Formats: sequence, structure tokens, C-alpha cells
Amino acid sequence: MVRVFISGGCKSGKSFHAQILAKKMQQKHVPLYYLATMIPKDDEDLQRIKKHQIERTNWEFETLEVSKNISSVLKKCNTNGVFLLDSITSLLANEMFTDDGMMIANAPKKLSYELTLLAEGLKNIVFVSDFIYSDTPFYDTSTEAFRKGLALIDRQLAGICETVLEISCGNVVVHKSVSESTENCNN
Amino acid sequence: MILIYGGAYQGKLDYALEHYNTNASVYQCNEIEIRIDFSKDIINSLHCLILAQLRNNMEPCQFINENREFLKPKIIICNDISCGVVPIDSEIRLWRESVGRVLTILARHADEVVRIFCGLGTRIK
Repeated sequence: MVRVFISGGCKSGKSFHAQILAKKMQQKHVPLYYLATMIPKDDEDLQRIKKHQIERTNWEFETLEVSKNISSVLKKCNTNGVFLLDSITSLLANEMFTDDGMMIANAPKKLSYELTLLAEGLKNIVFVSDFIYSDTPFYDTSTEAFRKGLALIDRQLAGICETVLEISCGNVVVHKSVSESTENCNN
Repeated sequence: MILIYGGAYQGKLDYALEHYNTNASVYQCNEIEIRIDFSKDIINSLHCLILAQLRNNMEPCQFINENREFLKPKIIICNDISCGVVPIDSEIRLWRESVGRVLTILARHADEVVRIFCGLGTRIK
């Protein structure tokens, strides 16, 4: 069983490293799932998605669009497969904010619970999140609630996962590891 | 002195209580009070005290240097607010720089420095 939690700054190489790890974790005759979470809101999002899709070409991922209710994956997929969930950040945004700008306050707790079910129900999964906690501004109430909520989920998953990695400028900082599969991933 | 720092909401206080002293008393800094209650074991959210001091025209580095003896037996917890864009607001900009300077002074004199990432601690000194 290999469960990996990855976080780091923007454009640090998290998704790329997550893909390498997921591919390494795949054994023969087992599906490799990519759980795509972003609901595109504008052209910039569409371009971002396109860039990630191009990066995943030839990796043999089976892409599943799961923008909400992530625990439904347990019923839809072969749980012996390898899963890459990218990202927890956009999942939380989808669950926490409605199209008309309303905030659902208990969304972080609900998502934390669902992702715990996922982590416990799957053998091999790589979670990708975003490290949004070391800047200075005072944010509005809902942005601050989002940061706090994502941190709650991050800490929960970092506690459960056997391996916790921080990606910094394309390099891997290992915060927790019991698996050989994460070694040499700087190569 | 033990210095524990890291991003917001990373579980720094929980880490301190779990790894050093479950029964420790905690002084919670805020953005108004400019002094520390040195009778407590843990000084939490030092970045808030620094902002309060700046708003009262105090020099946080000087305060830290003058009170180093009192801080020696403490666990000090502070947010790392250094990694974003340079803030437009001059007060917030000064705050960001002051927190960086204070953390550097504290780290120099600390017996142990721990950075917290998603609840996990890495001892960097």
C-alpha cells in the first residue's frame, strides 16, 4: 500500500512529480486513474487543463472528471488501481463555493471525511494539494476560511499517508516516507 | 529556547503540545497587546505581537533582544509570512520584514528550530 500526499507552491512541479510517482506505483494489469477535479471557469482554466492533458499524453491514464462527491470513485473504479487526485484545492473550491458566490462553511469537514474514506478504501493513491499558507496579506473572510479549510484537509491526509512530499522548485523534500517508491524521484 | 515556525494553520501549537509538553501553559499573542506574559511556557502567534508592536511604534527586534533571557526557556511559535508578493500596504510590508528579522534572531539563539509542514515537523537546527 502506497499513499502519497504532495504539496508545494504554484508551478513548483507538483503535478509532474505526482504523475511520475503514480506511474511508478502501477503494477501490471492494474488501471491508472487520473481524477480531474477542476471545473473550468474561463479560457485561462481551459488552457491550464489543456497543458496538463498534453503532459499526460502517453502516460496511459484513464481520466475521470470528478469535480464533486469524490468518494463516489470508490463505487465507480477498480479500487486495486493506482489513483492520482489533482487537486484537493480545486475539489475544495468546488465543494465550498456555489456559482452565485455563497460559501458552504462545513465543506472542508465534509471533504476531509470523504478523502479519508478514499485514502482508507484505496491501496495506491497520490493526493496533490497547494501550499497557500506562507504569504502576508489579510484576506477576506471566505478566502481565509478556504485557507483554513484546505489546511485542515492537508493535515488530515498528511497524517494518514505513508509518504508526504513537498515540491520546491522542482525538487522533492521528503517530510515522511516509508516507501522505496518515492526515492530517486528527483531523477 | 525552541522556535517552531511554518505557514498558517499548519498545526504548530498542536505539534508543540504533542512533542514537548502536553500540559504547557500558552500565551496567545494578538494584534493589540504589545507585551508577553512571560509566566507561560509557550508563546503562540508571535507574528501577531510583532504587528501590535509596529502599530504602537515599537521596534520588535529590539524588544526580542532586550527580552532574550526571559525567552530562553520558552517554546516560541510564529507564522512564516515571508513567501508571498511584496505587499502594497507599507504597514504590512514592514510587518513582513520585521517577522523575518525576528525569526532570524530567534533562530540564531534557539537550541532547536522546527519547521512545520502539514502537521509534520522538520528539525532544521
